[in-house]
Amino acid sequence: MIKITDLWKSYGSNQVLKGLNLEIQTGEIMVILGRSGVGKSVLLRQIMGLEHPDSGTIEVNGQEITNLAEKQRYEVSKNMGMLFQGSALFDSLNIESNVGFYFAQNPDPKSGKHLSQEEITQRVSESLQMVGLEGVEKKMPSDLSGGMKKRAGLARLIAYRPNILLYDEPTTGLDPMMANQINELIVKTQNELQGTSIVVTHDIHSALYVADRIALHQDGHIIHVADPDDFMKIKDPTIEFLEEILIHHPRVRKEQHSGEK
Amino acid sequence: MYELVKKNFFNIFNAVGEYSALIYQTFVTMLKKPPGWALLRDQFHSIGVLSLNVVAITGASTGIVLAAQSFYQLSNKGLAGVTGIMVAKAMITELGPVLTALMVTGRVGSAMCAELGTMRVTEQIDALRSMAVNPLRYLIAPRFIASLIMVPLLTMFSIILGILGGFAIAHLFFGMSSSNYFDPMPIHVTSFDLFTGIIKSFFFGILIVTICCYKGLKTTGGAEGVGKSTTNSVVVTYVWILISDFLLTMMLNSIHQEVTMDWL
Repeated sequence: MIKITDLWKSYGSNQVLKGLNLEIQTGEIMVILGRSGVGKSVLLRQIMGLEHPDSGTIEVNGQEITNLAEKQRYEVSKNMGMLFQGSALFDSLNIESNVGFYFAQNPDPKSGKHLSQEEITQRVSESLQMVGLEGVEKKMPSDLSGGMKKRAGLARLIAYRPNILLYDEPTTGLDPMMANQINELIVKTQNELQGTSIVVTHDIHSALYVADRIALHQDGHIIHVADPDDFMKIKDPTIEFLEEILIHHPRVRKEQHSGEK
Repeated sequence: MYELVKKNFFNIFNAVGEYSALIYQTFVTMLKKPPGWALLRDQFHSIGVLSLNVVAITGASTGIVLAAQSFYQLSNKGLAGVTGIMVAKAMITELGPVLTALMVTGRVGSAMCAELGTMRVTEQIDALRSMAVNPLRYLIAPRFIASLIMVPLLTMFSIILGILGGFAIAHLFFGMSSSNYFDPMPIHVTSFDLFTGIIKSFFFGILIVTICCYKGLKTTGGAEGVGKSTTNSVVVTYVWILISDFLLTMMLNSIHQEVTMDWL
C-alpha cells in the first residue's frame, strides 16, 4: 500500500500541493485526475523520489520514503518504475539498449544477480513483444513515432518488473486509437505484473478505461476518491472542472441526449 | 535597487554552493564506484580524439604566427636567434594551455552542456534516477575523468605542433637553421615552465567539465533553455579560464620565486 499523508510542495511562491492525503491499495490502478497544471505530475515525482516534498510523508508498504538517503532511495527505486510524459528514452541508445538499460546498470531486483547479455536480450524481446513492438530493437528513438516511443518507454518499464508502476500522462499527445492502445497496455501490464499502478492524467476516457479507483485532484488536494461508476455520478458544484470533463465523455453525452428527447 | 542586489547576491551565492556541491559529490561518487570502461572510452573519444583536428590547427597556426611576429620584431634588433625560445616559452606557459582550453570549451564543453540540458528538459535524467542509476556516476564522472586526462594531453599536442609550426616558418621563410631554433630551448625553457603549462591545463580541464555539466544539469525551459544554457556555459567557462589563467600565473610564479629564494 502507498499512503500519502499531509503532503506539501511549493516552487517559490507557488504552493502546488497543500496537505494532500491519499491511500493507494496494493494491486489496484489508481488514476489521479485533474486539470493541467494542478500538480498531478508533481505528486508523481514525490512518490518516485525525484523531488523531495516540503513536508508530509509517503509510505510504501509501511516504509517511509521521503527522507531516505540517496542510496536507500535507490534501493526503493528498484521496485518502482515510471513512464514519463515524453517517454524519456535515451537519445544516444537504440531501443534494445534503452529497454535493457536497467539490467546493464543494475542486478535483477528479483534474483539480486546481474543478467548475462543473452538474458538481457531475452528480457528485451519479451518486453517489446508485450507492447507489440517487435523488430525495432536496432532503431534509434528518433526513428519512432510518438505512440511507438510511449510503447518503448513502457517496455523499458516492464522489463525489470517493478511492483509499483507510475504513469505520467500516458495518453497525452496521442491520437485516439493510439491512446486506446496505451490504455489497453496499462491494464494488460497490471494484469501480468500484479503490481500497483498510479496513472496521472487529465484524459477522462483514459481514466474511466483503466481505473479501479479515480482520485480527483484540485487545488493541491484530493477532493474525491471513487470507482469509475460512482465517479460518473458525482454532483458537486464546488468542483470546477468536473462537469467540463464529464460532458465530453460519450456515456454522459448519450445520457444527456436521451434526456433531451 | 536593494531588492535587485539582494536577489542577484542570493542567486550567485546559491549557484556557487550548487557548483561546489556538484564537484564534491562527483568526487565522492567516483571514489565510491568509478564509472565503467565503456563510459570512459566514449568520453575519451569524444573529448580527446574528436578534438585533435581543431587543437592541431589552433596550435600550429598560433606557433606559425608567433614565430613570424617574433622574427620580424626581433630581427632588426639582432635578436632573431631567440625566436625559438619565444615560441616555446609562450606556447608552453600561456598559449598552449589557454588556446587548447578555449577550443575544447567551444567544441566539447558546449556539446556536453547541450546534451545534458536536453536530457534534463526531456526527463532523461529523471529516467536514470527512476531506474536507480546515479546521474553523477553515469553522466558526470566519465566526462570529469576524461577531461582531466585529455585536456593536458591535448595541450601537450598543441604545444608540440605550435613549436614545430614555428620552426617550419622560421626555417622556410626566414632561413633559420634547426640548431638556431631548437638548441637554446633546453637552456631557457625550464621544468618550471612545463610544470606551469601542465598545471594550468589540468585546472582548465576541471573548469570546462564542471561549468558545462553544471549549466547543463540546471537547464530549464525546453529547447530555448538548452540554447541559452549552452551559450551561457561557453561564455562563463571562457571568462573563468582567462581569470584563472592570470591567478595561476601569479600564484605559480610567486611560489616558484619563494622556492628559488629559499634554495639560494
